Amino acid sequence: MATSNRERERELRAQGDPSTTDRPAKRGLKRISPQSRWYWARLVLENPVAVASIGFILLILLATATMGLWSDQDPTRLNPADRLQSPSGDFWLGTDQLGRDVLLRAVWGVRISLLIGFSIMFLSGAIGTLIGMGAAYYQKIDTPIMRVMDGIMAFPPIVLAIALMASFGQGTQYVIIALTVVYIPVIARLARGSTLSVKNQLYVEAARSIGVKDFPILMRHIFPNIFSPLIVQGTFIVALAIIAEASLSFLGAGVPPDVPTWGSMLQEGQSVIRQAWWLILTPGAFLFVTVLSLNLIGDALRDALDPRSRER
Amino acid sequence: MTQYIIRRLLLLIPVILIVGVVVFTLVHLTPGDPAAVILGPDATSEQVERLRSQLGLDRPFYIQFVEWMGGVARGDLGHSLYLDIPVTQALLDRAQPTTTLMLYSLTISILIGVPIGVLSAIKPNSIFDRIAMMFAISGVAIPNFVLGILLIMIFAVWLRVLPSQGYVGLFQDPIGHFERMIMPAFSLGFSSAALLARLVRSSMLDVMREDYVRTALSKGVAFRNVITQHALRNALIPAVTVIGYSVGALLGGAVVTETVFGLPGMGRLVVNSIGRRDYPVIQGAVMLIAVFYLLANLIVDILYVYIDPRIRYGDE
Repeated sequence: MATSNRERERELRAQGDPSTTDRPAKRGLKRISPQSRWYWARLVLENPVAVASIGFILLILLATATMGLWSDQDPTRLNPADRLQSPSGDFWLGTDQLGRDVLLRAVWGVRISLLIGFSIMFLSGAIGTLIGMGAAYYQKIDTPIMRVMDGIMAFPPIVLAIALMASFGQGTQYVIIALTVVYIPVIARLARGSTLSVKNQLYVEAARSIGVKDFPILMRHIFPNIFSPLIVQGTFIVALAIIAEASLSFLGAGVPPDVPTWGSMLQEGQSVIRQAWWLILTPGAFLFVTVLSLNLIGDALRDALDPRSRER
Repeated sequence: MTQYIIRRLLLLIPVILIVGVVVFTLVHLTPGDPAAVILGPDATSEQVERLRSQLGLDRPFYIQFVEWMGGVARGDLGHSLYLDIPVTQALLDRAQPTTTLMLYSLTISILIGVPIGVLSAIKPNSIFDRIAMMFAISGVAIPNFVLGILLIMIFAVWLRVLPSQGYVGLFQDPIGHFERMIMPAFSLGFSSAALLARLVRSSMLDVMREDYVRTALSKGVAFRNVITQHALRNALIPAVTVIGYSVGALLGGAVVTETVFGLPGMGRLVVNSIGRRDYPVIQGAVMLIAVFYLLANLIVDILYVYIDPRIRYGDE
């Protein structure tokens, strides 16, 4: 089997298939042929930038999950005696104006950021996909639903989120709700467009003609075929949501102030910017590298799932 | 063309109505009685009642909405609870810093983004291209307020060459104005510049593969002219979409940037109004920003026709 796959790949490469020409197969990974459904995973894993990015996300997740094991300190404990200490052996990245360990707080912030980012991706992804697929599949509800989506998209995302947070008040769950509302139309538009291009394909017609009901058609026949662009967009939404959450917390309209987040750390840091650069650089670097990693993973996924974008 | 513009303006009406419903519903999303929440725990029940009727909360929802939208159509966005002046007045007072900030950052993003994208596309995979794209990828990943704080730290705290806070009008003190606006405009425009550079690069690469570019080159048109006359003009079409989208990002980013740099603009007013629970101001500002964003997108669609004669709207 492996031999025939290899032969087939060589054949494709001879024909100039773009999915095979640009990357020589590596030892160990070459068993997955371009025909396999897992071929995209191989492309992602052959991309060193994507592997480094995934590695970084896993590393900070591991660090925050095992916090109790490598530190006996509480990131919210006040310790005025050690206030505004610069980085040292005791406090690797210094302390803030209330004597709290900056590294611990930044690592704790990973939880909030990734929890919020991924919750928003799953919620807006699920709701937006249902709305978009429904609108495309049932012509009657298409126009009213998409006009409402247009209405929500008429707001710059962060402005709508701020307005919603002004009404809800502070709270992690409210940040998730507000940003989910903001990103639902993005997913819905994408899902609608992809569904429209798939729903008249022969296999959907075939399923319908043998009496498959609407919901199974949508879930089993349409959804798997529109999944690729959605997962790529989903990765970018995690990154956007993390920036949006940080912005809201920076403005004091996000997560409650007693929870350590990168946004609120930056806000506290700006007030003592003349004394303590580490209060800015630490949460700023965590935020930047996390968002950068997620964007790079999204780029790699897009390249792997869509052969056309690979040529660029 | 005029017909097309009129039709697009008419199509805006239903969207603005939906925007109005969303903005109007905001105040009703508050858990509990908005009037009681605004006044805080110490308010007497008479005060709460008075505010309820002042806000119109004692009347049926749809009447409130019709009255409010009627006011919006006449340019009356209500009365600020905290500042005790009309909301329209409050917003107009703070429009100047916001609009100048938007204009400067849009200019910066185009002036940086387009040339970098073009130069990268002329020599793809060169050292310049690689460095430029590394900056572009980083630029999209760094939130504007983080970049803003970093700039303050470098130029105001360490080098002491620029003031970190405040705003001066252009005509009062031109030098002071630009000194105070350069960092906010750069930190706000940087991510749009990065996005634009990536997009211009990839669409230039697409266009340079087209037959007409090869034709022009083979009949001896100077390379510089092929780039500017043939390639760039076509590559800019997708870029205009991104510029339109950037206006939304810049409007949103302005709210945060104004807070970082202490600019007395509309965004800062919105943020301050959250703490004061000044709902009419929040509603008015959000409504204004949304309408502005819709108009910006309309202008982008119209600009298309001028850049790309292949696009013809309507019934010609």
